[in-house]
Amino acid sequence: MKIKLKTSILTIAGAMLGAITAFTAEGQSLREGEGSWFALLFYVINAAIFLAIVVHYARPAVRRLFADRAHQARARRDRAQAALVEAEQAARDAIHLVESLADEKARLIKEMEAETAYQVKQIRDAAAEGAARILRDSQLTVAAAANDARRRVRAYMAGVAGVMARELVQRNFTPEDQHRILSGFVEKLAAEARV
Amino acid sequence: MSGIGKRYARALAALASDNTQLEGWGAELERLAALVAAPEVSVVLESPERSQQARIEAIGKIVERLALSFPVRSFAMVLTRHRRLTDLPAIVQAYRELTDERLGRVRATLTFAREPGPDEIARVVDGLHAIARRTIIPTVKVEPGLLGGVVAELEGKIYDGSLATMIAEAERRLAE
Repeated sequence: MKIKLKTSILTIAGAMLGAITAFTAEGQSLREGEGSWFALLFYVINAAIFLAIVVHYARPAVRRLFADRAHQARARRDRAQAALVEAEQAARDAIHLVESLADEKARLIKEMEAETAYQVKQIRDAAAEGAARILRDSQLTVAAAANDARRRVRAYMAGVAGVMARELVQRNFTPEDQHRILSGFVEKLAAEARV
Repeated sequence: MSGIGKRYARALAALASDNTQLEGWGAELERLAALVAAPEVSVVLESPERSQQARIEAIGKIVERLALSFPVRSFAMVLTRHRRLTDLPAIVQAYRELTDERLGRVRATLTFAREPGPDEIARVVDGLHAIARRTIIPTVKVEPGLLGGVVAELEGKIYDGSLATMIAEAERRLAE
């Protein structure tokens, strides 16, 4: 392969050297401003050889280059498409999430309103019940205090009456009184005996 | 009443042939119990320094001095030998109740505010007799705190007809 390449290069270089020699010899016989078909042919052949060399050696590299570029471009396109699909899916998910968040928000607001109303009602009921209980306790306390006061007054009066009764009995008790009490006592005994 | 007292009382009562003997022995037993319960006598009889024989001799002298009948004297000696002299009060009590039961009588304690007359006692005794339907043997006490009326205790039951209780009841009703 390398030998073939060297041979080709040497052939082309020899051809060009021959052509250049001929072109130089002819150039000495021309005046300034005059053209030559040979020169044109030389330039054409030279350009053709140049192009052939370029095409021959550069085409695979260029093809590989463009093939790589095309491959990369396709890969990028595929990735871009995948990213696009993914982004679209993410966008749809985001929209769905936003919608669900809005629903959740509405539901939470509704629940919070209901809970707040319930708590307010509970607090109101508790306050009403507490007030009623305090009122009831107060009434009971007042009633108990009044009853206690009445009981103490009655007890005091009873005690005073008892003391007075004992003093009166000690001063004025007569045998007739004793006789009367004993009669009542004997009657009670007789009643019990009948039972 | 203790079981021991009852057993000894029944044993003595079983020896009596009639009610007169039963009552007589009861009185003798009470005299003996009163003497044995006297501090100067009980010290001698219960002293651990005294031998059993000395106690028997001591109780023999006591029953001789009291001129007790033979059965009661023997009973006292038996109690001494059995070391049951300390149970004598319970035995006397049991014997008294046994005698009362056999003779169809019951004891009652009458408490007056002042010293009662015989007619007052008789009226209350009649009233109690109507309940117990047995002969009432009254024991009279005086308690000035009763103010007036009477309190009778019959077979563990209290019949309160005192003025103090009436006033207290009136006080209680007034205070309600």
